[in-house]
Amino acid sequence: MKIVINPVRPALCDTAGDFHLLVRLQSEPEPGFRRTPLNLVLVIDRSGSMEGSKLEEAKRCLSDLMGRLHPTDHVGVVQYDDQVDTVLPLGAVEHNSPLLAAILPRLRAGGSTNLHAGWLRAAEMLAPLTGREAACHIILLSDGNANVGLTDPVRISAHVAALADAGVTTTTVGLGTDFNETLMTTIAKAGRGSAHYGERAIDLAETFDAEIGLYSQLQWRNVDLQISNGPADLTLLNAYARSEHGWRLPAVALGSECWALLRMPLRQALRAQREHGTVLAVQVRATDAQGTQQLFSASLTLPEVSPLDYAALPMHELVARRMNEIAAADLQLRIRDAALGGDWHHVEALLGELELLGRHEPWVAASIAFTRQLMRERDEQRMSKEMLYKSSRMQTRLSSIEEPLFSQRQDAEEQAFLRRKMTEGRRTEG
Amino acid sequence: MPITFKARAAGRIPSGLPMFKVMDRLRSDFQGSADALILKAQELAKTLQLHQEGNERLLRHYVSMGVVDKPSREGRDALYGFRHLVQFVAARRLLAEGYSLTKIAGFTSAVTTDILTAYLEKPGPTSEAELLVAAFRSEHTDSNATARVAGRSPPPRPMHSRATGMGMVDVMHEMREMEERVHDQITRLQRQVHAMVDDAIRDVGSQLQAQHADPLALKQAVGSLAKLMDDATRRFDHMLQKPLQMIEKQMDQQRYLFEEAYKQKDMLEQIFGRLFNKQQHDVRGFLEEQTKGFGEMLALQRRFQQDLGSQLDRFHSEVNARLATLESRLDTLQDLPPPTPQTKEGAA
Repeated sequence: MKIVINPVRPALCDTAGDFHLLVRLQSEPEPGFRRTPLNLVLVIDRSGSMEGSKLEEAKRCLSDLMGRLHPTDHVGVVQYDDQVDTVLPLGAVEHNSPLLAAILPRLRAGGSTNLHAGWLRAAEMLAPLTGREAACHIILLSDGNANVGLTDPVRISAHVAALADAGVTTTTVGLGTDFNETLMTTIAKAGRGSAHYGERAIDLAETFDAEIGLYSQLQWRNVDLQISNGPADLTLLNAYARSEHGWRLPAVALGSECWALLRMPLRQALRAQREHGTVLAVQVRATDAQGTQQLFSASLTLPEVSPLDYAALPMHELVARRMNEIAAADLQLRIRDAALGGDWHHVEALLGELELLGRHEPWVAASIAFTRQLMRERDEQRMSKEMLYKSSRMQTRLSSIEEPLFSQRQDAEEQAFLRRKMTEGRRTEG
Repeated sequence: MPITFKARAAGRIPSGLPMFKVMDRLRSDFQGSADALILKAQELAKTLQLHQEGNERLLRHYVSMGVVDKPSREGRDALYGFRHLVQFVAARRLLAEGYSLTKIAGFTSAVTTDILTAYLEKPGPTSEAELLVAAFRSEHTDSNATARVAGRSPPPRPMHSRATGMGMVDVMHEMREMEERVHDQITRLQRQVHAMVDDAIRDVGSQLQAQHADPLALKQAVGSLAKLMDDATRRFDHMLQKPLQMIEKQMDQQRYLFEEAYKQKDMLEQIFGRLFNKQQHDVRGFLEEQTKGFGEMLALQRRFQQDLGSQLDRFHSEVNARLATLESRLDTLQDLPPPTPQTKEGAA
């Protein structure tokens, strides 16, 4: 893994104002790369509302998924409504794959939603297999709200987080316009997995594509970032979960990088460098595909210049872009709050600010059209989902290593888990 | 993997886990002071081939940390039972596996005694994920006991098995619910018919009070009406008995089959472990067939209920028709000239 630290300007000076640093954890080519064996359980909501195209599409995605796993991976399927049913016990793909055709008819829509019990059955199946040599992962699909069994989101998150610490991670896929997006994103964050959603049945395929694509190329898991000798008043702007001494960053796949944007007062950066010799030092712990934990470190030193010279220096293009993306993510969360509160005038004002940002950021600009449409329709449910997931995406995603400015055509050619997308809840067209 | 279980003598496997004879005896027998617990713990450790020591001070420390439940009495008269014993021995083993006391307490305090004994019997290390799942499952089922309709016995306890559930408990739950629904519906239908009959009788009775018709004819009319009603009720009851019995019989059969299959599955798993995955799969297939058969049976029952409903409707209209006839006859009686006063007095 390579750690790259980009400052917003390649120097420090003694003036007031903010200073930004972009820390990038980049995958390096690995000849003879063999990905971690995967133990995967799919937990499928079969409550009454899933009846019809949603459940049919879920079944289709399941078949697809099976086809993309290695024969020695293990896969299991659980379905739940207010009861839990193990449709396919965890077993090697080469053994379970032929059984798929037989079990698919058993996936039939039913009653209400005991989401926690469905998830817990999957955790139970995977628990004996945890260990560093294989990745144990749950993909939880739901189109509604947990309304039976354990429903308290705080306790559900606590369970999910504890299992993630013990080696069983959880990704969530929300489907439709009625699912509880707060619950699903909270579970994904606690479970150290991804949060996906699709508005319609046809949008489901891309989310599974992204998830299995990611796991097929996973190079670094359990990525933990720590900062030492850092300046005072240092803030990490991405919404990453905290770990004991630092932050949990997304798992890194081959050919991609994850990133964190740091902000600090310029004066403090200078003071830290004068005191320690570096602006800051970064330590990263991560587990590789064979299950070994490795440690990487890097630090940054910059020349000191006069304020005049500093102002004349150009801003680093990528750092500026990430700063705009973080700002857009923040705006989107405020749009969400305003929409949920019914204050559509405020939504309009915030959308105006977003458009200003969009003048320099094609990705932000591309995302606005759908937001405008939702505002016109006064649809706070869909707006809430799109804003929450879009905002998350902008501040916690993997990007390709020399990521160009967004263009629809280029994005469509990108691997699913690296796509930026125009609309979170809708598939990429064309 | 070496097989370390002692095979049980042939015979019925009781509900709950198969246990070592030592555990079996201790389960119902053990109760004692801290010293007695320590002694038994050392015995147990030896039987289960665990190397460990322990003393009373350690036991009290574990109680204070929440690893072992509080004893029934405190101080010198403290009384410990089987659960405390297995909590203690399990904690010693988990410590040897490298878990902290805090994590151990999270497990030993939350799970059932059955799960603790299962852990002690299981060879090999246990992952933290397994401990967490066991604790979460116990926590969850405690706070979400499903309410049962009063008057029905609770369903048979699902047998503990470390293999993943197969939905059989779910099917049995469904069976029970269906049985209750059928019973409720039939009871409701019965009540409707009886209410209808009562209403009819009341109507006729009130009409009789208003008129002063020929007593004998009246008596006959009422008598034949009552007989008709009784007939109807009896026939209806009879009609209801048979399907109910049939369903109950089928249920018992299915339940028995499920239980036997479940026991078989567990026995195979416990004794022959991974070597018999294929056998498991076959049993599963069998159970799926049974579930399908059950589904077909449910469809049959539904159709039967519909037939029953339409028969009832026909019956209803027949009785109504008869009532109408009677009413018109009463009307005609009314139209006759009133009897002479003597006759009237004499009749009262």
